[in-house]
Amino acid sequence: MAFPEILSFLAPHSVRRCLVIGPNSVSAKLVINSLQKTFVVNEGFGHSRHVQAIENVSLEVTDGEFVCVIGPSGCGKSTMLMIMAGLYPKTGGEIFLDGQPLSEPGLNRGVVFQDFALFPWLSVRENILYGVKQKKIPEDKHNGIVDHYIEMMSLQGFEHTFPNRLSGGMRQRVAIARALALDPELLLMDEPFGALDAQTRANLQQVLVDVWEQTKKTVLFITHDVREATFLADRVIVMSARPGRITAEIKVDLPRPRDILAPEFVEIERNLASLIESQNETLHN
Amino acid sequence: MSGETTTTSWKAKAEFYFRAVLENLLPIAILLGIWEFVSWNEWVPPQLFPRILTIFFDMVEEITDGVLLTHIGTSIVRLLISVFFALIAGTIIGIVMGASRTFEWMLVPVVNFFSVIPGIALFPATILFWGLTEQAVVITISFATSIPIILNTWVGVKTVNETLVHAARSMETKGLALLLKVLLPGSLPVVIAGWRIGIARAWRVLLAGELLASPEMGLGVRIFDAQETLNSAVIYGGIIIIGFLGFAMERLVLRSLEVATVQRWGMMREL
Ligand SMILES: Nc1ncnc2c1ncn2[C@@H]1O[C@H](COP(=O)(O)OP(=O)(O)O)[C@@H](O)[C@H]1O
Ligand SMILES: [Mg+2]
Repeated sequence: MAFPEILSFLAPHSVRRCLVIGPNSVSAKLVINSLQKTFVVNEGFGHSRHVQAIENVSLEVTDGEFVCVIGPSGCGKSTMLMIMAGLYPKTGGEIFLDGQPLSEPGLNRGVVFQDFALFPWLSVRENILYGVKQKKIPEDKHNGIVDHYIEMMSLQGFEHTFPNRLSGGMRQRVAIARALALDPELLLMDEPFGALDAQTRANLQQVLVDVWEQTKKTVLFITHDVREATFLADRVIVMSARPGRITAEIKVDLPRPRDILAPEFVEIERNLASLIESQNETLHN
Repeated sequence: MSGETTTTSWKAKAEFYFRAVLENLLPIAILLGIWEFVSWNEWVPPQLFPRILTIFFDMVEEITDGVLLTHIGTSIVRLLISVFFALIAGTIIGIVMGASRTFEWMLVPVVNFFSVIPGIALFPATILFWGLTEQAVVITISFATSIPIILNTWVGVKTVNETLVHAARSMETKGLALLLKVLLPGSLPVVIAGWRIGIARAWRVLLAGELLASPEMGLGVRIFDAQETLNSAVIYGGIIIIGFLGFAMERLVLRSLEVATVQRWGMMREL
């Protein structure tokens, strides 16, 4: 993308932007620029209400980076993720993935939802294959792909089980496998471990770190758990509510695997917690 | 991590079928037992309330004559043809209503308008068009049957778990594919419930049709003929046969379908 400045009018819009912003953003995998979202809630009988969920969010994520977004409930984290999945239309700003403007859903993004969202009528195997089939990958590759992700997520023996017969932790493993099987450019995860018990959550956090180190996917992970964010992320983005915006950002420069009892870990965790705490105070004042 | 193992033994199979028969027939057998006890004691005059055994022997006699089986067969054929059309049309219309806003606002008032009109009230109109024919009967039953099927399918589609739709859409599923791959299977428990209500309604309208359009044969015809000759054994026998056929159809077809699909998938609790 080495466009001479003088020829920039020839370049596609997205490239032109990058040139203006500077060399750093050329390598950005994901660019979010002044994102805004206002919901118009139809309350029936002629009443409607405007809810500004996201005020003005800008964010850049580099290739292979693990970014956590943390913030209180209702600060627009899910909304932001849904917009990036192409499931909600944005009302302002722009998003670029690999330089391409993003608005529709696409198979270049894998989404993992808090409540798993597995298709109950499809077996574990068929769930994992759902997106693979959507991508029109030839059938002779299917077995290899399924086996690969079944093994990666330790789901051996459950290929033909229906999701509603599995425990929550196992279901989320399937959902992660289904998202990874798309071989997406961006993995979007909305509080994926929020519905799990503490032990299963800790276990899956480790699984996710292992998988991320293997696949080097770019991950946007939403959580409201400070320890989870500190354990997983390269960088934590802090959001505040009403309306949702980014208030702080912390780099987590700890080597993995991380020890949640190590003093460095605890310090970052405490910093993060106090950041969230302080913005809650300003909110109440 | 250990996987799953499946076991099927002859013993478990036999137990399953034994339980199925027991659980389905025992309540009815008890009911008939009470009937027999009451009528045997002649607490109600036997002309009005004959014994089950009398009814049963009358039936056997009619069956050997071949008449009863023809009545039953004729009614079942009428019913199945009507239900066939109603299931297909009703389910498709319901899905389209649940998936498309335009169809929804066009059809919701129409369907609700017709949903309060009893099937029997439609016969005078259909008979005007088609005369006292099989078509008139079948068309009326299909129409009346499709209404609850449409309403249930519509609600079923609208209440499919939204994150499932999100998951599907995030993987570029839309339009007809979304309908077939997600909305239909996702709404199946409610859709089957609608088929159940629809088929029950089909029986009721069928009987009304056989009274009003008075064809040659049919269970309704037989009952109303018996009313004229005050043959209470045939009247009750007819009612029992209809109830039993409806019940058998529900158990063998719809309930089996449920067990094989939504219950197997864990979308519906087991009994
Ligand atoms: N589909 C929607 N329609 C209307 N308002 C919504 C919708 N989704 C979210 N909101 C509103 O947007 C705000 C942010 O919600 P959300 O993104 O779910 O927050 P979070 O995930 O951070 O808890 C909330 O005030 C919520 O009520
Ligand atoms: Mg949320």
